[in-house]
Parts: sequence; structure tokens; C-alpha cells
Amino acid sequence: MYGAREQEEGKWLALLLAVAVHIVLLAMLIWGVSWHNTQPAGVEAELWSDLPVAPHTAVKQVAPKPAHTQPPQPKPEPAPEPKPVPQERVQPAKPDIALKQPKKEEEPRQPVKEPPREAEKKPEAVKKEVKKTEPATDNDPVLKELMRQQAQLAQMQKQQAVAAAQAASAGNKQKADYIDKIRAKIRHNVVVPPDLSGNPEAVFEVTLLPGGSVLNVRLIKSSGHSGYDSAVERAIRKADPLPLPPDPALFGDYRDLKLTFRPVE
Amino acid sequence: MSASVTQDLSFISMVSHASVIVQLVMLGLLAASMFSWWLIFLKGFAIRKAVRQTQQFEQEFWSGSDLNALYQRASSAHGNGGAMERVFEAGFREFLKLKRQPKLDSTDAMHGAQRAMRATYQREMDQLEGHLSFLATVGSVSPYVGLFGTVWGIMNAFRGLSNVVQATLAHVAPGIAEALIATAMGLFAAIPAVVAYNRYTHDVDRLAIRFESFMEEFSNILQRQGAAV
Repeated sequence: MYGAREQEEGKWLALLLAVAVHIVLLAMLIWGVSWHNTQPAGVEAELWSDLPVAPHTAVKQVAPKPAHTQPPQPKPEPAPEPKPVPQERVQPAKPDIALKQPKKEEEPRQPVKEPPREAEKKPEAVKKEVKKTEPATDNDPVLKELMRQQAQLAQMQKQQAVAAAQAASAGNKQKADYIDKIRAKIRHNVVVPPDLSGNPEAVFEVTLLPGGSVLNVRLIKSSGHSGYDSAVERAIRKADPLPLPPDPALFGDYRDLKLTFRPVE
Repeated sequence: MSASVTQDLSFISMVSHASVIVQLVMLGLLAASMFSWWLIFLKGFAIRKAVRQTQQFEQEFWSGSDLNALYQRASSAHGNGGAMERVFEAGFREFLKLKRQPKLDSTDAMHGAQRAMRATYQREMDQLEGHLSFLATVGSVSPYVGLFGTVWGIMNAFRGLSNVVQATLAHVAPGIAEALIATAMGLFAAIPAVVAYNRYTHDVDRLAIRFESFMEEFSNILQRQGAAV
């Protein structure tokens, strides 16, 4: 009876305080609890454009070219072609961009007629192509276009003939190229132990899942230095997922990889 | 699938992604927590006020002032005085009424006054202890409710995992984090409720002891008065 009135007094104040307590808690939760697990993409970009170029050019360039520098320095090449090489190297699967760029100087609109099947052959085609078209700067765009297409056709036929013979080696080349990329990404993560002497070689067998995740890492041949072995193994796991060609049909070639690592290459 | 692996786990998105049952559990826990905090503040104010008024009245009473004057003031301040004042008022009123009856002797008047005081005392105690049981209930039950929400959420998370060929921790982790929020909320509701319940019952017990000892001492005074008259 009396007490009921007594409790009435603090009712609204108590309600207000209770709400305040919850607002404080909610604010703490909303601002305090937020886990962001976004991966820094910059690291990957660097690896893709940088390291794998050197071995690739070493295999590819049969054209008259000055001796290219071996380590990851594709830029200073005094290339006879108008466009820098790395652009087409980064993505050998779609050379359309590289094909278009040299032509742009003469005429902006040029449909690409080549079948995208011979991805690995393209860059060479482009180089020769460009050399041919450059002197043929004509005033008549139709004629020029025709000439260009003819040249392309001839080029293609020649290529197809060669492609049949080289198909196997080209596949291997692409595979080697990607293995280089994979190794480059792993090597980036290797922390070489300071007490390591010499340049021992460690061979690992890596089993991959579709998508590039590392399923299993097995040491086949130890480098003789257990610290370096485990450093490489850690680096392989850290590099997960590994870069793979976008075509899933090719994954069978990459399921079991044999990777060789040396502290200095 | 890979897109869902790399996602932001903010609190709001976790709550909104939880399943309906878990959300209901969270809502219930939020309501329980709200109500228990409201009671915590309400009872806190009420008990503090009761302690202060009791202290004040005891001081006045034992400072040797006249009982009749105290009674006048208590009955004029009807209801606004403290609990102890009301106990005193009820007892003294009954004593005065019974003393006016010529047939009754002073021991009967004193017994009547004691009964009146005990009745008021019980009413006051009931008032002070009211709703404390709710705090005890929240304190003991809400962890289990939160646990239920968590178990349910984890069950869902693992059931979703059965559809995936490559089971990784990243697939279950967001679900488990969502589910664990329910436990966190249950604990948030329970801990203050338990602390407040223990504290308030202790305070109310101490007040009860003070009231009881006051009643005994006041009975003695009434007995002395009755014998004197």
C-alpha cells in the first residue's frame, strides 16, 4: 500500500538507467566486436607480375633480342616491339589485350580474329605481326585491314602447323611457367635460417586441392638442414592458396607437384 | 563459397545472420536483461531509501523525544515515513486504542500492539523483498537459455557443413561465433542479476533484523508505560 507509492518514485529513473546500461553494452559490442578477415591483395599482384617473367622470357624469346637480364627485371629490355613484354606475360591465357595495343597506334578499332585456343603461341605471333604491320602504314584503311588479315592468316597457318608439333612442349612450358609462379609465391614466404651454409636443395611433393589449397606437403629430399626444410614447409603452407591457371580442366597436371627449393637461386 | 569465407564479422551482421530460434532466444534474453536491470535500479533505490529512513528514525527515537510527539508526526506523514516509522505507528496506535478500553489490562494492550507491529513488519518486508525472486530466476535461468541458443546455432552451423565437400574451419567459424553471442547475452543478463540478488537479500535481511530488534525494544517501552499508567 504505502510501499507501492514509494517504488513508483524511482520507476522512470530506473528504467532510464537500465536502458542506458544496455545502450552502453550494445555500443561496446557493435564497435568492439568486428573481425575483418580481408586478405591483402597487393602481395599477390606483386608476385604475379614480377618473378615469373624471367624464366618465361628465357624459354620464349627466339627472336633477335639482346641478352635479357635473368632475375626479376623485365622492364629494361630494349625490346624491338613497341609494347613492354610483361603485359602479355602476366596472363598468357588472354593475349587479346596485348594484341590490340600495338595496333592501336595505327588504327584504333581492330577486331581480333584469332581463336583463343593457341594462347601460349600468341605473344610470338604478336611480335612478328607487329613487325610486319609497322611498315605497312597505308592511307587506305580497308586495304591495310585486308593486308593485315592476310598476314594474320598466313601467320596462323604457319602457327597451326608448328603448334601441332609443339603442342606437347607448349603444354609443358605453360606448366613450367605456372610452377615457377607457385615457387615464386612460396619462395617469397621462406625465412632462410641464418645459420644455413652453402646452397643445399630441398625437394617437396605438394598435393593440391582444386582451387589451389594445399592438401599435403611431403619432404622428398631433405636439404640436410632441418631448419631450412621446415622453413620451406611453413612457407608452402603459408602460401596457400597457390596460384593456378584459371582453366579447371588443366588441374590434373597440378594435383601433385614436385617443387625444388634452394636458399639462393 | 570462397566469398562467404572472407567476410566481415561485425556484431550486427552476426546477429542478423543467426537463425530464427537463436534470434528469439537473444530477444528473450535482452528482455530479461532489460527487466532485471530495471529491477536492480528500482530495488537499489528502494532499499537505500529504506536504510536511510530507518537510520533517521532510530536516531530520533533513541534521542529521547516524546512518544506522543513521534506518533503525531508519524501519523501526519502518513506513508511518507520509513518502514520502521510505520511499524512504530501501527504498534503505538493499537496500544493507545486498547488502553482506552477499560476492561482490558495493560498486558493485553501490549500483546495487541505487538501483533499490530508484526503485521506491519511483515507487510513492509514483503514490500522490500518483492521482485527479488525475479532477479534470482534471471540469474539462474538465463545462462541456460543462452546455452540453448548457442547449442541450436552450432547445430545449424554443423548441419550446413555437411553439404560442403571440403570442410574447413572457416565454414563453421561464423556460425559458431553467431551462436556464442547467445551465451554471452545470457551471461550478461545473469551476472548482474545474481550479484544484485545476493546484495539486496543481504541488505533486506539486515533491515529485518533492525526492525525486529526495534519491535522488541519498543514492546519493552510499551510495557513500562502500561505498568506506569
